[in-house]
Amino acid sequence: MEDTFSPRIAATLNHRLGQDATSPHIADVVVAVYREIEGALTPIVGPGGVVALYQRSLHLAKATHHWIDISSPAQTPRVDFSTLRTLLAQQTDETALAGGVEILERFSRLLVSLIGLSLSEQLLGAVWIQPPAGSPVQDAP
Amino acid sequence: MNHTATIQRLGTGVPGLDEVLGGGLPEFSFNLIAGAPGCGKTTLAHQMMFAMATPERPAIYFTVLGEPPLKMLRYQQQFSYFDSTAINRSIRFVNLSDDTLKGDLGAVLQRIVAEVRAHDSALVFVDSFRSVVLASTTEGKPNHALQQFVQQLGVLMTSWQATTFLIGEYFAESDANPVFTVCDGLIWLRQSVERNSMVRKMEIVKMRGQSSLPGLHTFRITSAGIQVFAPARAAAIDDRPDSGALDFRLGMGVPGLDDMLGGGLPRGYSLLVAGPSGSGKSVLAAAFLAEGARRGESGVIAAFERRPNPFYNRALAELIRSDRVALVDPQAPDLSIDEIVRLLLDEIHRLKATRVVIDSLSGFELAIAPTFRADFRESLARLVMALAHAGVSVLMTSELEDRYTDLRFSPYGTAFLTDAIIVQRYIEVHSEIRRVMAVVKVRGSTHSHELREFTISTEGICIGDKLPDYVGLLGGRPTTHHPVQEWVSNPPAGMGTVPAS
Repeated sequence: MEDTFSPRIAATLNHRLGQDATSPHIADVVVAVYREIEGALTPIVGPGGVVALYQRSLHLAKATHHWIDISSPAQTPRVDFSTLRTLLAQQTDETALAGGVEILERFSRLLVSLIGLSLSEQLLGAVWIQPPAGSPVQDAP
Repeated sequence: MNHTATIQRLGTGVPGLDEVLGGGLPEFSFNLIAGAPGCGKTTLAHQMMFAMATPERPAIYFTVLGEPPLKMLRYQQQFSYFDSTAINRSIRFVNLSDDTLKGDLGAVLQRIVAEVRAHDSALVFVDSFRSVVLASTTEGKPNHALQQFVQQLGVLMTSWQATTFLIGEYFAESDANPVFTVCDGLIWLRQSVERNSMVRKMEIVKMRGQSSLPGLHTFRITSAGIQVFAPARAAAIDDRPDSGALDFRLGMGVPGLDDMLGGGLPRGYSLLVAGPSGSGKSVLAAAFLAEGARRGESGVIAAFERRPNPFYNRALAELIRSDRVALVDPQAPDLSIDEIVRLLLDEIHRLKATRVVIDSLSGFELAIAPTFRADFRESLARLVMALAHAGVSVLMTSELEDRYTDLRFSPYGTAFLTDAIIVQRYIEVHSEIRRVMAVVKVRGSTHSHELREFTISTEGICIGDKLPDYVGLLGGRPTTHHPVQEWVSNPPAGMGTVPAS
């Protein structure tokens, strides 16, 4: 159950990126998705709460993608996505996509571990699209 | 035509709370839920919110600087009332930490009003309000700013037809706080600690426009949320069936005992069975319930000493297994009398029971929290009254050490509370311990005054004859009754009385 968001994250990026996405485009899309998450969660947990979740998700993603190494002050009023965008854009297309997916999945799993799948779905359901019905789940391009 | 304003009352969804509030929560009221950390304020607020919020009556929950929202959501969803599907539909959470940290109460107020208007909220919660208070004072702002804030919030929310709850940590009611004056309702939650026990208590300090129940009311927090135990008097609805009670008698299930009682136990009476350990009180109680079942009546037993099991009472265990007798087996620590009454009444109503056994008062006293033991006698009176109002007949056992120097029926002085009393005693005859039983009291009814020997076998209690050849039975060591003495004391007619030597 904890991985339920994974196919939806992949489907969402798939839908937004289309074919042959370049790393700068991938960076823009990942940040855009993150901004939607920020918009959905900030009214509820406050900007500080979203910053803390974002930083934790980067830290967790770094374990499998060592290049995701973004150090930022523990207390910032808002999430600063510019560093992430720059970092993703500097990678190869394939690496940027894998990293972007990893960060979003880590964030989702982190939220599910804290407030459960049902409430996470309730809060972020509008961000993710459903994978096409009847088709096998595929990784993002 | 009635021209006065009609105040609708909202059902809070918290079991027992509506009774304590005096019929529910007044709509559009401005309320404060106060108490020390950990006493259940946030749980109470959430439980009410999930119960009251609907798409037509949406709720908004402002989190300020208290418990971080993520943790609050994490822990609150452990309660069964939490419904994730209600979030962002009928319930909306809004974090105000940034606004509050700036210490500008005016800006906080504007944000609250804007959000309430944007979402057309009918139920407004601010948690924790103390954070607002502290934020206003740390900036060195004069206290009237807070008073103004509370005043404006109260006016704006009521004008907006919102029912509002401020949740705050207040450690003493003597805190000079303007919100105490402005609020319509003040619900104070407490944790009473005595020795190694903790009991949660709630007080409705204030509830404008209606008569709430005074005093401290115990409540418990379980996975279902908060349950408040309204006082027994408030829980009881039916009047006691005084008239005609003596016309309807209940069989006791012990041959001969009904005759001793003057025809059985009058319906709706409370009966105290007092005696030393092992004298047969529980056996008598089981026979009472079994006889009810035989006549098609249901029963309830509150077992405070040991759970009825097939090893010591097969018939009762079978009645419990088949749900003809409900077992109230209070395992929870730190019970209150009101909680036990609630447990009993719930089972009485469920089974439409007519017979109730409390076995025993000694175990009952040990089961309740130390903080209630000082008032045990008064509490017991409430329990007896509540059960009588429910229209059931009650048998209570009471362990009583044989002292042989005085005749007592209860260690609590509760004998006067009951309508009937049966006393059991041990006596020594020819180096044997034997048992005797007597009916001491049946209110408003004639009854036997005989002291009868009885035995206990696998068939139950068997009441025998009097022991006419013995005197001083209640002293524990009876002596043989000599016919000569009888003759001396009551000489045949025509003969003078012989002075005792």
